[in-house]
Amino acid sequence: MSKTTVKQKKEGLFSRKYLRYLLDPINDINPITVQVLGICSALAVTVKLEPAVVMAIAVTAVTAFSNLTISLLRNTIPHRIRMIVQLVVISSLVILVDQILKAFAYDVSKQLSVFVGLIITNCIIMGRLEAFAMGNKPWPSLLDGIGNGLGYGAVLIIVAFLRELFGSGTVFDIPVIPQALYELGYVNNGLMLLPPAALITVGVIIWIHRWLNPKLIDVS
Amino acid sequence: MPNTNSTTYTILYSLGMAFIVGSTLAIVSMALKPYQEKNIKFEKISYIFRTVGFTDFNKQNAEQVFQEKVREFVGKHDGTIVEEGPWSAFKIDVGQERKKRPEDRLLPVFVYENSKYIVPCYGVGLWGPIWGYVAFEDDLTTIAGVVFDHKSETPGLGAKIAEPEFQAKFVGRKAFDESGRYVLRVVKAGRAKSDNEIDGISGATLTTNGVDEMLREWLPLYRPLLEKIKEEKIKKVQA
Repeated sequence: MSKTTVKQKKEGLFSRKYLRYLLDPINDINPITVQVLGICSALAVTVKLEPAVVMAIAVTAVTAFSNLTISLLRNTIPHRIRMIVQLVVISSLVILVDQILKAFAYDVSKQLSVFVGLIITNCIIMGRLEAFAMGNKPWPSLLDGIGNGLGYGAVLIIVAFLRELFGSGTVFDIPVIPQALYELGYVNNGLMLLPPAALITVGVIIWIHRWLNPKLIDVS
Repeated sequence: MPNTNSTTYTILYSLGMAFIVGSTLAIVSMALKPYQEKNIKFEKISYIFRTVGFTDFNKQNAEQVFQEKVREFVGKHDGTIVEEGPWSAFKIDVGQERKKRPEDRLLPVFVYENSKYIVPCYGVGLWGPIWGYVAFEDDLTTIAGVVFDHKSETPGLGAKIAEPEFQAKFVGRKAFDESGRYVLRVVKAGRAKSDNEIDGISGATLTTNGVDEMLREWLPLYRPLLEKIKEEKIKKVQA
């Protein structure tokens, strides 16, 4: 027993091993581009940057805290109802996020409308609970949750940036495409505002991601 | 550690979980309710003031400024005034009124600085509800300003009804002709020919139609009531 405590102390809270829990989901096992989870919300909230950023923060908070809670409870959860317990934890966290947004960020909560509630069905969260938090200690679980939230958020923000730039000609609602260009006949791409554009953008991001990261190349 | 696979444990565990989660959420919801209600109230006040271009208020003083500037009336489609006074019209939810038959609806009217008449309306767009506020000049015909908003119209297309560019098109238009007939039309983008036709949003024909139908449903209903309120006002000034 004492041996393990010594070992843990040596390891430190941000040792390389722990840091990998945090960083791997951002790149090597990114929930969207590699695991292909959470696509539906990536389509829905990426028309503008602002809701995408809020969604990224909200999902990160929910994955982090649900991972932590489930990891703390993992030895007490009755096996037969573990999925229900996970869902209860996720949905109460989501309701908390929704209530807090309604009280302190009303405009944003209006923009996100139903999608806050749909965080509950985001497959990343339940996937991480089943695959990671049920079998790991609280600290790695928390890191894994934050990492997956950030990995999801990073893709969301890239997609939202591209869609807002080409679809509306703005970044964070600030016009960036010069008026002169419009006078020359440039028009905003209406397709970028519709959900299919997100799918195409995500596809292109997956392609670039695989091209940049040799670890992801399918050997078979 | 008790046997986590036993039925008793499972039942007790789920009961305990339901109790803890339920009470936590109830407490949080009660604690945040005043903030949320204030947000909703502030939003409604902002809509009403935006129709007349009044911006000199903030979250702290909005309710007070509203009471100073705005008089409220509640009436029926035949022009009878049912109720007046602070928050009388404000508390009416036209979304709920819309479920009743037109002749049973309670119609809220806001009179800004004794000169502009603001009426709310509520309808359906492509994906969900849309709503708006229309301000009339003292002649009860010319539109002084409008505000629209929506629950879930397509961003970049139908959602544009909530943007000032679209709403500015309504300013100065006449909603009724000389005989009091409702003549305003919101038409497909680029099809507006006369002064009482307003160009809709291109690529969002269904939302545009929603706005047209919403205005056509509500504005004529308000007309007799507005005339009555104006009459009362003149009587008061003469007396």
